[in-house]
Amino acid sequence: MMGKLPKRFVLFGNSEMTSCIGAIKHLQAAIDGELEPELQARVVAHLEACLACGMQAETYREIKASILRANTSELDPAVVSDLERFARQIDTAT
Amino acid sequence: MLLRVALSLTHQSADANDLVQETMLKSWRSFDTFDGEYPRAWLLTIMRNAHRNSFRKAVPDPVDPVSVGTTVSEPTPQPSAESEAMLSEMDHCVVEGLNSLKPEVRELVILVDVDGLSYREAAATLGLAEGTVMSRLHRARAKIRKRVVADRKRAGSSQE
Repeated sequence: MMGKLPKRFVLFGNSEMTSCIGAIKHLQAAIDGELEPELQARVVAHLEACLACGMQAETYREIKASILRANTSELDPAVVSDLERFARQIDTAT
Repeated sequence: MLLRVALSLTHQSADANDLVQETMLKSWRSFDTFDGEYPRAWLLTIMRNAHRNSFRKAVPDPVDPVSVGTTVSEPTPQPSAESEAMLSEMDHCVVEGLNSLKPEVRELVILVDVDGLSYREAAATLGLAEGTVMSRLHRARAKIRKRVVADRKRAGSSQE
């Protein structure tokens, strides 16, 4: 019966956007860029249209950015060049 | 990337340097075992094994970690005083949330969010199924989000 309804009335989302359930299910993968482009676009469309899901997504994006900020320290250039030299030594020694 | 992960494993620049060198040597010697699929996951697996071995040698563990189902306890990473000053209130809340996670879950979050591994690479590195990676990430982030939302409520912000 569902198949006879126009696509945009399908309960579980439609061809343009997912439902809330679909958006939340795929939210983490969407934020991590792990979804197929077509599904990614449908999730993003939902997040733009739905305030509650959109805000939740925004918080998750902020958390991801925050984790990156808090765990990224400047690498010591001396250590980096040491390691590069070491890698070349392995390369030439074999 | 190797040095960054080594730093997150050892928390000390000199140890991290040693660990990366050891990883480079080992990977060079065992290059024929590489299946060509996930180079970063392969390198990180070598590094994690090397790190675990060095830990075993340095600190004899009174309890067999395998029998109790836990890995060797590692110090909780803390941001350095220098980076601390640059972190916002939310960052502190997120760091607390991150530190409250089990070490193996925290490691997964760092591999994906900081080192930029794909779910497949993270799964290959940690020897997990991709579905497990997804569900653990989801749970870990939901925990952190709960803290952030509670923190914002306390601060009287109307935003989420």
